[in-house]
Amino acid sequence: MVGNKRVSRRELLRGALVVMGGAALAACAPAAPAQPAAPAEGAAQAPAAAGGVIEIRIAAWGDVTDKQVYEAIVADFMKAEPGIKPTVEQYPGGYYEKIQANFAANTPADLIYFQGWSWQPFADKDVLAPLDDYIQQDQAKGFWVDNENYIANTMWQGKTYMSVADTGSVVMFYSKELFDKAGVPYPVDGWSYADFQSAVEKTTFKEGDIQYYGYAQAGGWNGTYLRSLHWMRMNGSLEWDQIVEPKEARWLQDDIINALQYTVVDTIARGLCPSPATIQGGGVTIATGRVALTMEGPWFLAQMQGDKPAREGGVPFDVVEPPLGATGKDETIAEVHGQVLAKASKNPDAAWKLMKYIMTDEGQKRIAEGGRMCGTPDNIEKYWVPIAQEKYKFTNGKAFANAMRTGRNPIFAGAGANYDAVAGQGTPLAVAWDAMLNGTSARDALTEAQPKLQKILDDYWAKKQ
Amino acid sequence: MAAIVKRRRPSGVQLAEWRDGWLFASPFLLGVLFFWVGPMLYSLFLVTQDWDMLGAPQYIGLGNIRHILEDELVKKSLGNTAYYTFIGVPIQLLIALLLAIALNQDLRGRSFYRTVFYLPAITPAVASAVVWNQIFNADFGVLNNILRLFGHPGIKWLFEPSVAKPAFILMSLWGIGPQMVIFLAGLQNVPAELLEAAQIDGATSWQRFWSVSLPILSPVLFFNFVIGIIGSFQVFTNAFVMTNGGPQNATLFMVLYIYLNAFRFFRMGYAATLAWMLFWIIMFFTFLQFRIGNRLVYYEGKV
Amino acid sequence: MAIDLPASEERRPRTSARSGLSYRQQIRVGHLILHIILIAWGFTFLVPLLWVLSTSLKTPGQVFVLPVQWIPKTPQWSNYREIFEILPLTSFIRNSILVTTLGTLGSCFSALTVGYSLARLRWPGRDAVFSLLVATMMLPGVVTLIPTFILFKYLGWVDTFLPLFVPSWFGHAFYIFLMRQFMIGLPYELEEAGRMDGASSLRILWQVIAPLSGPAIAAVAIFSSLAHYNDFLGPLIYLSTNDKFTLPLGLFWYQGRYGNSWHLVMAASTVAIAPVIVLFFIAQRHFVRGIVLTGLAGR
Repeated sequence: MVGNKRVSRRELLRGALVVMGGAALAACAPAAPAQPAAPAEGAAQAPAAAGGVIEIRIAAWGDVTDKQVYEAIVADFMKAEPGIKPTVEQYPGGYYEKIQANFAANTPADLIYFQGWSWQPFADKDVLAPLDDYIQQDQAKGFWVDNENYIANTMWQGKTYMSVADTGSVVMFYSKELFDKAGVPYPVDGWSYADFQSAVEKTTFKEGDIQYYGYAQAGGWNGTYLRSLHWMRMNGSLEWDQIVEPKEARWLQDDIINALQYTVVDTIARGLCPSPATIQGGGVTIATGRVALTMEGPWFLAQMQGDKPAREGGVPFDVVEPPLGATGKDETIAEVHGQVLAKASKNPDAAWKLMKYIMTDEGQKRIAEGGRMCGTPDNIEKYWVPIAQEKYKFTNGKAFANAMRTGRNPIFAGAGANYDAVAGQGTPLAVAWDAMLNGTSARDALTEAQPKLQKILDDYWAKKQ
Repeated sequence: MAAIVKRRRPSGVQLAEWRDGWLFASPFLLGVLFFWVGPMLYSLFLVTQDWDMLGAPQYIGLGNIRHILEDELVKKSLGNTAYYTFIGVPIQLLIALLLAIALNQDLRGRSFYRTVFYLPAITPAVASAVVWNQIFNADFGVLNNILRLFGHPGIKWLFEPSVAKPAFILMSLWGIGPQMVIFLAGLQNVPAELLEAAQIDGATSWQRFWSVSLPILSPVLFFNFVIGIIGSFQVFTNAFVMTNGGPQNATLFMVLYIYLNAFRFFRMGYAATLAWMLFWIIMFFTFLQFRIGNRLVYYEGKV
Repeated sequence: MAIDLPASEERRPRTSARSGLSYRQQIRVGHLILHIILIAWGFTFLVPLLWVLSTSLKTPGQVFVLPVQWIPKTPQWSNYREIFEILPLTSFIRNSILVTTLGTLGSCFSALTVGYSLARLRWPGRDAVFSLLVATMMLPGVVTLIPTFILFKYLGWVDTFLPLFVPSWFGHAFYIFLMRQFMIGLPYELEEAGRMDGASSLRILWQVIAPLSGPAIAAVAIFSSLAHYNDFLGPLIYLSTNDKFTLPLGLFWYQGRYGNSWHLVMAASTVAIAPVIVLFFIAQRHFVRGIVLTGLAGR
C-alpha cells in the first residue's frame, strides 16, 4: 500500500527528470557572460584576431578593489599591446592555497601577485623564472629600488624574481580628537620613545562610562610580530643574525625583551591598551574613536575617513613616523608586493611586458587611484600621497614613503624556515605572542620560544646540506 | 540446527540477489575506484616522502614517522581533538535528541521551530564567525553580560587557553541542527500503534520512550554517534577562521595542524603521515563503537 | 511521547488521579511549558542571524557601534543593489543553484540504491563494502585535496562544474550510511510479500522501500543541498574563471582588506541564506508521521 503521498511517484519522477535535464543542459552550455559590464570590461572585448592573440593569466590578490584596479590596468595595457590578452584571476578566501594547488598540478597563472616575504620558497624550488635577462635587455633596472629591503624582497640568491607593483608600510596613526580632549600636543616626526610613552599615559582616560585608550595593537591573534618590529629594532637590535636566510635566532636581547614587555604586556596590564578580548568583534579601535595611537598601514586609512569609515563621519587623524630610538630611523615593516613570472608560463615574453607595464607611470597611477601605495618611494610621493591625503583628509603622507626607505621586512627563507613556518599559525612566535597578550612576561615567553625558533632554523640548514 | 548445512549451488533467486546487491552498490564502488582510491594511495605513498608540492617528492623512508614521535605539537593537537570530541559529542547528541523529541510533538508552529533551530547550520562560516566574535567579546559580548549579572567578572573566551575549547564546544551546540534533523527522521519510524498500545497498558512517558521509542531509534542514534565522533575528530573550520589554532595552540586541532603542514609549512609528506595517523585513530574508535553497537542496537529489519 | 488520538481517548480515564487535570488539559500545560522553553532557546539561535540581517541594512560606520542597534536608523536598502553591482552576484547564485541541484539529485539517487543494497540485499562481500564505506569518511580530505585536483586536471575537468557534482552521483559515504541505517529499521515483512510474488529488487526498492523512506530522503536532500551550496574549498580549487564562482567564494570576495565592507558581506549572506531557509521549511514537512503500517499492529 503506498497511496499516502501527496505527489504521486510518477509525477515526482517526471519532475526530477525535467529538472535534471534542464540542469544538465545548462551545465553543458558555455557560461554566459552575465555580469554587469564595468567600463574596463567593455574595452576588454578584444577583437578576436585570426590567430596571433597571446592569452596570459595574471593572478591578483582577492579584493574587490584589486579586481577593479587590475582590470583597468589590463584594459590600458591592451590598448598599448593589442596582440596580448591578459585575463585577471582572483582566488578569494584562499589565495595561497590556490597558488600551491596550481603549482602542484602545473597550471599556475603566468603572472602571480605575491607579498615580498612569501615567494622565496617557490624560487628556492625553482618554479619561478628569473627576470634578469629581461631587465638587462629592456634596461629596466630603474623600476626597482637599490636598497637592502627592496633587494631582499625581490631577489633570491643573486637573481631577481619579483617586480615592484605596490607596497605597504606601517606608521603611527594618531587621533587628533583624543589628543585634543586630553590636551596633549600632537606628535611630530622625530619624536622620542619617552614622548610616546608619556602621550600614551596622558591619552588614556575615562569619560563617564567610556574608557579611552592611549595605545592599541592590531587586535587578535598572531599578527602583532609585524606591528612590533619598530619597537624591537629601534635601538639597533635585530631579532635574527640576518634577515635573508637567517641561521640564528636572537630573541633574548634586552632591547627586544624590554620593548615587547612594555608595548605588548604592560600597556594591557596597566589599562593603557585594550586587550585582544576587548577588541575582538570590533568597536574599540582608533577608527571608532576609542584609541589615541595605533601602528597601522595604508589599508587602514579607509577606516578612518573617506566614504566608508568605521565610524559615521570618520575620525580626524594624522600620521607620524614612529618614535625614534637609538638608530634614529623608522624601523617599521616595509612591505613590498609585486608579480612573479611562473616558469611554467608558455608566454613569458608577453607576461614580462605586462609585468613591466604595471611598474610604469601609467600602471602606477592606476594603482594609486585604487588606493594602493605605489611601488617605489618616489612614486608613492608623486602619485599616491596627493590622492590619499585628499581622500582621507590627512597631511603627513610622506611618512609612508619615508618608512619604505628605511624599514625592513622580517625573514626571507626557503620552505621550512619561511615566514609562515616561523611566525604564522601554530608556530613558536604565535604562541609567544598569545602568551604575552595574555599577561605572560616577555622574558618568559621569549625564553620559551627562542630554542624552538633556533631548532626550525637548524633543521632548515641541515636539510640544505 | 545441529546438522551441518551442505554447500549447495545457490538458487536462482539467491544469485539474482547477489547480482542485484553488486549492481546496486556499483555506483559507490565505481566512485571509490575513480575518485578515492587514486588520491588515497597517493597520499599513502606520500607518507614515505618529503614533498613541498613544488618539486618532485623525495624519499625519506620512516623520517616522517620519526618526526611525529618528536613533535610536541602532535601530542598537543591530539589532546585538543580528543577533548573536543569526547566531551562535545555526547552533549551535542543529548541536546539534539531532546530538541527532536520536543519538535516531534504536535506543537503549533513546529515547522517554524524546526527551521529556527536549523538556521545556524545554514549560515555561512564568514557571517557566523563575525557574530560569534561579538558574542565572545570580553566587554560587550552577550555571554559576559550574562555572567556579570551573576557577579562574575567575565571570561576572555577565545583568548584564555583553558577556556577556548569549552567555547568551541559551546559554538558546536549552536550547530546541532543536522543531528536534530536526523533524530527527527528516525522518530518517524516509531509506529504510533506501538506507543498507543504501551500507553493503554499504563506505561508512563518515560517508559514509553525507553522501551519503545529508544530501541527503534537506536540505529539512528548509533549513526549520529559514529558520525559525530568521526566528524568531531576532524573539526577545522572555526579554528581556522576564528582562532588560527590559538590561544597558545589551545585550539590547534589535528586537521588544522595537518592543513598548516600541507599549505603553510610546505610539508605535504608529513601532513599525509599525520592524516593517516588520524585515520587509524578514528578507525579504532569507530571499530569500538561498532562492536558495542552490535550488541546494543536493535535492528528491526536486519538481514 | 504524548499523542493526541481522540479515538482511543474513550478507553482512558478522563481525569488523572493525582492532579485532577483532564488528560487534554495536561497536554495543553505540557505544550505551553514546551513553547516557553523553545521560544527562549530558539531566540538564542535566532539572534546571530538577526544580527546578520540587521547589519545588511547598515552603513559601514554603523556596523560596529556598541551597544548593538538592532534596527538601523536609516535602513540602507541600497546595499542590496550595490552587491549586485560590484560583483556578478547573479552568476554566483545561478552557479550555486546549478551545482546544488545536480549534486543533491545525485546524492539522493546513490544513497537510495547503495543504501538499499547494503541494508536489505544479501550478497558476498557486502559487509566488507560497508566497512570500506565507513572508512572513506575517516581520511581527512585535506590530504586528498591536491591529488584529487591533479586527477581532475588529467580528466580535463578543471575549471568546469563537473568535479563539484559528478562524484555525488557515485555516492558519498555519509548519505549512504544514513539511508542504510534508516532502511534497516524498516520491518522485513514489507518486502517478503513482494519477493514471494517474484518482484525484482528494483521494483521493491522503488515501490515499497523508497516511499517509506521519505523522512530519510528528505534528510539526505537537506544535508546534501547544504553541503553543495556551502562548499567553499571545492570551487576555490577547481574553478578559476571568475564568472563560474559559486556563492561561498563570492561571499569571501566582498570582504576587502581595505575599508569596511561587512554590510555588503551580510547583505550578500542574507541573499544566500534566504532560499535555503525556504527550502528547508518546505522539506521538513516530510517529517510527518509516516505511513500507517497496517497489518503489523497485531504482531
